[in-house]
Amino acid sequence: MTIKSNVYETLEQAYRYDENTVSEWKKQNRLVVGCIGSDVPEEVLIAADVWPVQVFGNPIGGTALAEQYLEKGFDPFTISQFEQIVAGHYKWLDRLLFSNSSDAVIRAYYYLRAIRKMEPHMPVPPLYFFDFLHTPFRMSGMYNRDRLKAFIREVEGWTGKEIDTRKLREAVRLCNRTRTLLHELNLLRQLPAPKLSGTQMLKAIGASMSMPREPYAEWLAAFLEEAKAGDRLEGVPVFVTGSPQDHSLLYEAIEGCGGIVAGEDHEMGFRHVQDLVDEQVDPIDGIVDRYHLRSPVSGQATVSRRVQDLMNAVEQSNTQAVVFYVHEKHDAISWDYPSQRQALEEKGIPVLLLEDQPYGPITAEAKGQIKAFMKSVKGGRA
Amino acid sequence: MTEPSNASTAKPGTRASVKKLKTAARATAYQKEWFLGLKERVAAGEPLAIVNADVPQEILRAMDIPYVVNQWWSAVCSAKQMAPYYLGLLNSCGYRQDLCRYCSLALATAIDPEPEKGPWGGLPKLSVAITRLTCDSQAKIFELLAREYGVPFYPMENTVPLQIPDEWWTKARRNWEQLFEPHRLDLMVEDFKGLIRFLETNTGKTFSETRFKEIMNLVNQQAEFNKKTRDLIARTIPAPVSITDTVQTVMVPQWQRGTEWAVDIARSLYEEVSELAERGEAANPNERIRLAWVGRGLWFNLGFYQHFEEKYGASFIWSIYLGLAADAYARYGDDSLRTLASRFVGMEDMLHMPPWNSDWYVKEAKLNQIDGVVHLISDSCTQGAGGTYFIKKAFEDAGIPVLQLRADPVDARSWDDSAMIEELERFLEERINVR
Repeated sequence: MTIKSNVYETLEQAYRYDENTVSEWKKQNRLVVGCIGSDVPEEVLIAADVWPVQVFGNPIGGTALAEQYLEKGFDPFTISQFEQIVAGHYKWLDRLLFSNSSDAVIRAYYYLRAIRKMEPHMPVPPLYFFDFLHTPFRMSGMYNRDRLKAFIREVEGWTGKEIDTRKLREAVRLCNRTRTLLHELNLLRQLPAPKLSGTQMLKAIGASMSMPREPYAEWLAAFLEEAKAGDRLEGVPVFVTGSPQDHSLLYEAIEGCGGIVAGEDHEMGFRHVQDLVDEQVDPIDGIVDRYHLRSPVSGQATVSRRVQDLMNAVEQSNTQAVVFYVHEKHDAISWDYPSQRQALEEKGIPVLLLEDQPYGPITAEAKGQIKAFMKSVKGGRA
Repeated sequence: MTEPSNASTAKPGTRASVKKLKTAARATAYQKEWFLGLKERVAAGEPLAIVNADVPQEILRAMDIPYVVNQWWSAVCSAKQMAPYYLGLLNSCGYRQDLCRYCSLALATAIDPEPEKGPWGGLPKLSVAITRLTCDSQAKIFELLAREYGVPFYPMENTVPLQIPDEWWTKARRNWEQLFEPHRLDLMVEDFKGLIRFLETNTGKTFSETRFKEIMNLVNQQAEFNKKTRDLIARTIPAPVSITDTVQTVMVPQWQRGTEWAVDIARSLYEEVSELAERGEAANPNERIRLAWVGRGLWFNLGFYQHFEEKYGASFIWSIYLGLAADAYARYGDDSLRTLASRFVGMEDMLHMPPWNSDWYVKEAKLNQIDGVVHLISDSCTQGAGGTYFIKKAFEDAGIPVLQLRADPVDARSWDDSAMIEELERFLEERINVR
């Protein structure tokens, strides 16, 4: 049994943005900024009293308009996010903010910028690019500090208000608080006594990307208490890696076959909240280090780093099997896979590869493969 | 990047091109000679680098480090019809068939159990691998490659501009400080310094500032000749040469940038084209329409273009290779390292990002009096596609018809020759009204 309560329902509803909340927020002359890419420093926006919301795709929606603009080499998640923007579903955003967490995201930014220039009638909000580098070198760390300072000046220009050190520290504390609560919650989906499904965890994390942070923290704290008191769940602990999952359909498919998604490393899951900002140092340093020195996403990492990070994450999450779910055209992950698989198999960890997958509903064929895989893994109940 | 061969015996879809210029024959012949000389140097104990095309090769040249360019090697493998074999090797190691092909043939070479059977005896032993992180796969391919060869790997960062400049080609030569944001140039200079130290440490070679300045000067000389050649072809109807001659005559010396030989080839190309123009000789005396080939060269089938000259009087007279060689490489400045940074910092934008690329394409089409455009789109490479919608729209807004052809520039396995010819013939007949 998964946890059912009013508290959880509130978080689940917030998993996608709530139009009433947006309307109330904007009535107070407060800005809402959409985020694409996993390196947008939300601390800066929260310090400026700006609400950062993640731009989600639509797993059951079409992408005909986006496909006019994007080449066939784009992965379907980016295409779906792009569709939501050009179709006007995010036209209420005051700004749209990108960070360079993948080649596709960078190109989406360029293309939207070109649309704003060449087709100004399209409903694309004003854009900003946060140029954040990922090579683990001092040179990149110093560049990132300069870019963060430039970003702070930019946001100050949007609101007309200074973002001082005190405000930044407060925002860091708030973000750390929600991350720490999510760390506690995360333990509740793992061995030895899982009480929370991966689906619920994914939605709880996702709600942090689409709900004003202060009320989110309160709802999350309440949900954590409920989860602690929940019943133990049975199932094979599974780790999910591969393309970003900004909807719960894959998790539901795995958990419907006797698994519990007890960990993941994609950017819409636990990775989003795993690392804290050091509150004891200058907030500029702390924020940059948090985003720069953590495990990079596939598009920003070498194969060896990805192997090392996956092995560590699988061990830390106490999972017994790994599902690679890779969207079609998501090339970066496909370069990682043969080496990652080899490393996992050397440890005796079974692997299921679901490659060339669409974004959105899980195909019947993939569901069949998941079912067979779960059967083959010791303890599977399917 | 192939050697001349008998086009009549080639199977459909794998034709070599028939060249007209003596300079083209010199350039093509030189690359084998150069490569064999490089192998001798490596056999004698010299280091060898493999670099991606957007790595500042001028630095390696100033350190007298021999290097092979990844995309050059791909083009050679493809022209030798070896790409299917190499890509098959990658597939057998668990890499998906539709992964990036243009940049992965050197990696396939590294895992080949019989590397000596590669083009011209295969790649010699490498010492270092260097790439720029201009797409998500670069760090992975080069790290895997370095691992296979057991050599160190240096990844160079790539930054993203916030500004869209108008008419970059008018500022790139001398006013590049206005074109590229200072923080981007600063970072790239830092990265260059790191690269130099990496090469000093790993190859034992030293960097000569004096030599570097000479190289920068030679690159500018080469670029100025290329500009003169481009301008001459642009204003001469019928065109004295087609891309069958110019692509390789520009690209072989492009990989030899910063040498007297490369300047000599660029000068020779200009002089030979000038003589043809003065004599009124045309690549295609029957030239009725002028076409531009946008995108990468069709390396395994460089003779593809000639069919349309013969049947329709449709000459492919423009490609990105001479166009960029004319507009994107020359740089003048007092600080040599920063000047070099200005050559590379925006290259990705100029080539692959709208509206930098689309605006420039239209400018070039107008300058070259182009009647129609064929755009090769590779679905296995998002980077290379570079805003196809915006490119098409920019051309069409300028009244220039566009055909988008989908194919991989190095992988002959998916090429359907008769379908491609049919598609292009239909475009010529229906969109440009030539019969």
